[in-house]
Amino acid sequence: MAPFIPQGLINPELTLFFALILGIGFGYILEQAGFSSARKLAGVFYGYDFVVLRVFFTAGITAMTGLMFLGYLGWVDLSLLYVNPTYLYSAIVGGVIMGFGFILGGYCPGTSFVGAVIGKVDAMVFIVGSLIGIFIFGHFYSTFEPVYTGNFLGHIHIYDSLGISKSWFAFMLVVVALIAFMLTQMIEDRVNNISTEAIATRPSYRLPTLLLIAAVFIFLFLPDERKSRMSEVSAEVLMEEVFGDAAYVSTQRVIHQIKNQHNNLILIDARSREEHEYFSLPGAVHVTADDVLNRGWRNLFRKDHRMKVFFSNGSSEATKAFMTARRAGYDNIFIMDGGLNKMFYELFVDIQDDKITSTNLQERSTARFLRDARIFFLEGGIAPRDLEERKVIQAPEQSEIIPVIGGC
Amino acid sequence: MDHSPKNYMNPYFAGFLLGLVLLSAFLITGRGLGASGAVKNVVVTAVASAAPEYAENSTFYADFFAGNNLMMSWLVFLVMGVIIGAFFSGAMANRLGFKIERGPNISARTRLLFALSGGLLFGLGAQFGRGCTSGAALSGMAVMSTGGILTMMAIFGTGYLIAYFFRRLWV
Amino acid sequence: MINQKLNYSAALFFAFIVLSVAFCQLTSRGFDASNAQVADMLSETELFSYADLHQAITASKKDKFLIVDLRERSLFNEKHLPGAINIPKQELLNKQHQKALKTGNTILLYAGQEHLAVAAQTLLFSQGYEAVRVIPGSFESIRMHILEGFNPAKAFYSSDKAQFEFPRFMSVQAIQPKEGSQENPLFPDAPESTPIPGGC
Repeated sequence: MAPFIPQGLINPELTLFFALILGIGFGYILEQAGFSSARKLAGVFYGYDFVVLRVFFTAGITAMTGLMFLGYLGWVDLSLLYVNPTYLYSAIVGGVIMGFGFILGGYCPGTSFVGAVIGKVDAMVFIVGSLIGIFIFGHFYSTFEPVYTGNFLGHIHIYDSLGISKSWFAFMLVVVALIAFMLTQMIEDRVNNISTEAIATRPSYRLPTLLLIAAVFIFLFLPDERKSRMSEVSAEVLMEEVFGDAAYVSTQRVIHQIKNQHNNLILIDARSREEHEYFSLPGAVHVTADDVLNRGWRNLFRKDHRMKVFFSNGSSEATKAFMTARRAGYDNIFIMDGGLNKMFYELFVDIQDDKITSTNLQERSTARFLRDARIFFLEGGIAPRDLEERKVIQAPEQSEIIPVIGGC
Repeated sequence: MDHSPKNYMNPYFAGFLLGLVLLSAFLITGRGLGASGAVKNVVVTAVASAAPEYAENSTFYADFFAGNNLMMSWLVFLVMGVIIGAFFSGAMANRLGFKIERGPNISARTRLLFALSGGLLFGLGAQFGRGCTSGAALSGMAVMSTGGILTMMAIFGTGYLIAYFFRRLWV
Repeated sequence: MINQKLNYSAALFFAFIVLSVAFCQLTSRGFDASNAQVADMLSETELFSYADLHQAITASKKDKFLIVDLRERSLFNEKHLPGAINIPKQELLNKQHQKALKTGNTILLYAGQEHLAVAAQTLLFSQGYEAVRVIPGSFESIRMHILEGFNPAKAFYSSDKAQFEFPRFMSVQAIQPKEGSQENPLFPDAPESTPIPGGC
């Protein structure tokens, strides 16, 4: 799940490497689009070249739509992405000053590097200017600080501030962008006196435009994140299993495994940590119902092909864990019927040793089995050294999410 | 071999590719692109190294004295990549060459003066805005942040309002 | 030619989005809440204690609740909680019952055994219902502690509470994993935490 580095899927030491690579792409594209030319950049304000608007709007919309899509699939955790903070007056004051800087200088910091490296002296001078400007800010920082740090509204989203849904904002932004593209094209043609023949021979952008509109249009009808995945099991199947017999494993089966020190079942304690540490069945792993979906347990549920049996004191917590795990598509999941309460009741309370001499074979063998098990457990039949030889399932390490430090 | 500068890339296509780069940045690291922060890191590192007594008194330089190596940062490496990528593009498109680009009605000296002041203002403004057009506007649009979009509207809104008064610089 | 590149790649990108989304919607399993959401709701929702139930039945709060008996018809007809309707658990997701359930009141579930009501609660959560609570205990305990007179001592009874002092009976302890004996190392996972933003 993205973002990869904060989620620990890519080594954070590679961050600077990726910065370099992405920067190379960034710089290459900017220069290819003509952002190395101050005249082209300033053209957006004078109507003779709207390249800035075209590139920026398109890039913003592409990334925005891509993120919405991946968020819907559940492939990116949108809450981990860095969202520019809103310091109300500072944001506006900064924008106004930068507006002046853009008109006067014809560059912005990023494009000034693009221009400077291909030899534009005015871009190099611009960079020097920006160094001075930053120094001035630092020099008078104490004066600027109240505005700079004031009116902090948080890392808020524009759709929240406007009171609309995310998909509506995205849709309207795309519509505005497309209208802007059309209008600015007309303005640019008029300013530059482009002939009507030249306009007519231009290729059309109809196909990607239509598909783009379609893409943001469908998101109006979708939830932010999809409600189910293909790998999930249907409600009908879940119902059949949990209301029938298929989901359950008897306490005697579990007793049998413990007594004979077999390894066929993986016993999973679904109760709280305190209860688990106070007492649990030998070899039991601790996975509560809300921990089931934790990615660290995926290996346990997917790769280990033994039967996974959830238990709790009764069956309620185990059932919650079962439902969550089964719906996620994990196989071979069971509930220990009746839980520890039933197991102990059968073994130690409901003693039916008299049935050992019964004529019914079934009753006889069950009664004998339970008696042997009881003796086995009461006498500490499971010696510590035997336990060590069992395969031990280790809980996943709780590693921290690496926080995303953002910034311009 | 033809040495005349090649055509520029179709702006929509460039925007689309740039959007993919921006998307990748978010997917890999959780943050977007930016540029002004790198310049700030350079200033902070340079000033604090050269004049530590001056810098120690200012909160602005606190980050440096906290022991962080500001030059080994995401933004600085991003801008280094920008320089490499832009150079590569310029070389491939035969656009390399020293030049002072200016509008037809001003002198080179005027242009350079305005470039300096424009840079100064942009450097100052980018601090207040916590980003420039790449950081605030572009990345802000991708995650739909209020601050980013506000700054973006302020930049372009102001630009349009004052463009007329500075038209001699460009047209 | 350049425009062709734009047309094709951008078209591909957005077409891929449209098609994937359509595909996801078509193959969706008819759930109205994601598995993670349901898991959250399960951990946040508490059992509807006998104390609450007693209050709900005796006080005029009856109108705020819809009590659902999940057992089979014959058992329901024998004896059930006052005001309860009968939806045998296998029929829980049938259309005719969905209408009865959508009254807007909090749904209180009970069954022959507590965990069956819990399973039903999970299913209802996954269908988009939000106010669903489980009445703890088997029907036997409900009968004993509510129907035959409210027993305050059992106000917070649940089948899922330990009924024994387990260690007294079984002298086995949970195994402590030995250092270095990780035969099945699992990949670390990242728990939820808020990222710390920086600035420029």
